[in-house]
Amino acid sequence: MIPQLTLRKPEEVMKLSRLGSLHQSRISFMRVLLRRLASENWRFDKPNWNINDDGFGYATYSVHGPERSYTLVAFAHDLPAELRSDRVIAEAWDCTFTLHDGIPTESDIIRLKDNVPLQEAGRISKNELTLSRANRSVRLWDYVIDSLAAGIQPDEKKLNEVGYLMRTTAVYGSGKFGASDRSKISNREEMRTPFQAEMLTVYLIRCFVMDLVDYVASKKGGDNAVKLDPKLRRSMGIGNSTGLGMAPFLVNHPALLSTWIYARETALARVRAVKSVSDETFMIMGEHFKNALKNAQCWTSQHDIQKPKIKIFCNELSQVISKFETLDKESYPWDTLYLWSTNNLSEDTQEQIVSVLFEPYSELVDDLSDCMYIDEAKHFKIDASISTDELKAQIQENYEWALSIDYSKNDHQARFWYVSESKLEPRLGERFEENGSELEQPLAVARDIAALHSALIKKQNLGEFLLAHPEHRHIVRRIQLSNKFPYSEIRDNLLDSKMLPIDMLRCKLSFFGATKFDPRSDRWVRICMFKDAPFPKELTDEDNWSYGAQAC
Amino acid sequence: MLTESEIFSFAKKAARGAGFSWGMAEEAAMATLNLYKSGYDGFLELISILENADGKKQPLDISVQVPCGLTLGTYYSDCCKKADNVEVIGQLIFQSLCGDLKTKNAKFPEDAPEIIKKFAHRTYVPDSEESRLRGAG
Repeated sequence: MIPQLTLRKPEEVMKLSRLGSLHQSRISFMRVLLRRLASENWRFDKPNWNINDDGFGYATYSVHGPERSYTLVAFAHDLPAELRSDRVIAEAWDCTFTLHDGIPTESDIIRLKDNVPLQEAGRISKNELTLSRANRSVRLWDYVIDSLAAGIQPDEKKLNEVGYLMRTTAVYGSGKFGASDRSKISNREEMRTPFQAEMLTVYLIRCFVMDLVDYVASKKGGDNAVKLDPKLRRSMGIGNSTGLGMAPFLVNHPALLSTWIYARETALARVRAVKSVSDETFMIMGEHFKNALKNAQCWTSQHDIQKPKIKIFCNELSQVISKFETLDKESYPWDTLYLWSTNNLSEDTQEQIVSVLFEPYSELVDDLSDCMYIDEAKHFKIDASISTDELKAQIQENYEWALSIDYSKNDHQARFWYVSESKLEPRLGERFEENGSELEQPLAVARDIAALHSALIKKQNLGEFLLAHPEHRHIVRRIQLSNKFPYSEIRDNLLDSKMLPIDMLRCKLSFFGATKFDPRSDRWVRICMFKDAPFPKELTDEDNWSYGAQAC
Repeated sequence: MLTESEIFSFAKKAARGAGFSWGMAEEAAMATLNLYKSGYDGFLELISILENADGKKQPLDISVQVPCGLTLGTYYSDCCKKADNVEVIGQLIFQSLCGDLKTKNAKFPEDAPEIIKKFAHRTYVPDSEESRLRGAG
């Protein structure tokens, strides 16, 4: 049994502002993936490269693990600039992708060629695990190709301001558009941690994009052309533009969310319980904090909310480095540092400290990534044998935060979540200004809890109550889940006029392993994935790439 | 062929579109998926339930001569009652909810019937310029 301190309480952790301050860590899904690829010596090859001189065509990238192979099938298209859009409602992209389960046959390729470029309007099969697309960075794509074609390396600073040459605008998996259901692959060792198929897709997309840019430059520049410098190549990730579609996920998968947070909190509790630290580990930790600061100094955003947050974050990380030097190595230094941060620093910096503290402790942290998946169907059934009084007590125990909100105030019910008929895009409406609130999605957890609580007037069997009041059934299911899964509920009002959907996006994206959060509005964020990550030939057992410090 | 998650999603939205609460729609979706996994035509069963419920005030009355199998089945499931010989609309959904279904080899549909899509479509907010500009940011 690994010693650990008490876990942080859900009422502290599950606030939207804190969830919106999380950073990637050792248990983020893309790091879990690369650790596996390295430790199991997965093999990579590129069996097909049917790309023309202008960079259009298709290619395949296969990876071979101990038991199975997976193949990225990538299509590069000639996209008119006016059609380039990150929105879900877009209908064409620079590149489209799927991750095939195994090695595709020629007939698979023909089938995929007819469907993958269409994305949502096409159809993939149970032999595919993901469907994705990406658009070029308008700021960098032509610039990098022109530079390389002319035999010149592009400017490092300029590259790092963006961080990627293409950004994905969706990576669908888990049964979407005909793809294999999660239940079909979740018993595979390499797929047990969530989103491994999606992370593998993005990792291989990065390989493809970097090969593509070198290839197009070489065709354009001929003998004059050079390849992108390996250091610059490594510094490029894959961007991602994420909108509201991701936000409901955390609310719709409460038990799963709880396992993620529980793993993170357990990791923190274990590291805080480390009593004495060797000189070497202390020095390594110090390097990680210094790299985290350098990394933060490269983090840019044009957004009014994010800009001041980054400034404070950088200032506070400098304070952390000063504080670090004063820690007593023999007396719970990490607990001391963490507790000091809670009294002195912003949530953003506190959570950065949490993530950095994991870095030198693979033996305390990495196994927790095995606990981040749950079979949700097993927890679907409501226990209706209890009385309404018992249910009421459970609400008072876990949902005091929801009962304390005055829902008669317009500000506290200002928004409604809905699905548009236009490509089924998830959107957020203003309840008192727009039509459609009668069709709102069941994401109004706090308000619905309060409504149920008010309806529990007399003591009766819960089954009888639900027969008469089925409108409360969805929320009863949540309450019962929250009894088993302490971190299942975001403890904030998701209808509030001041609620920031980007906080939910950042929470999920940090578990993916994303960096460089750059909000474009309160409900749309650009991020970077696999920035500074090793390419297949560079993979080693050292999982130390995520704070790679670049010039900026 | 539809996937499990697509069947669940269509069934849940369709049940909601027919007037069931979100929680009941989840039960309908789980039962429909379970029918397909057990070798039955889940949407066919669901359609009879949705057509019966359409336009009626919720909750549906289970004391009528032939009650709704989704409503009665959910109630029976909540109370851990076994399916008896009661006649309901959507007999197999009722049996699925009561855990009283003979299983055959799973067979999934190629697509959802138009009527299911029509009910599901009722849960979407019509598109508008304002929604496009404001809703997704």
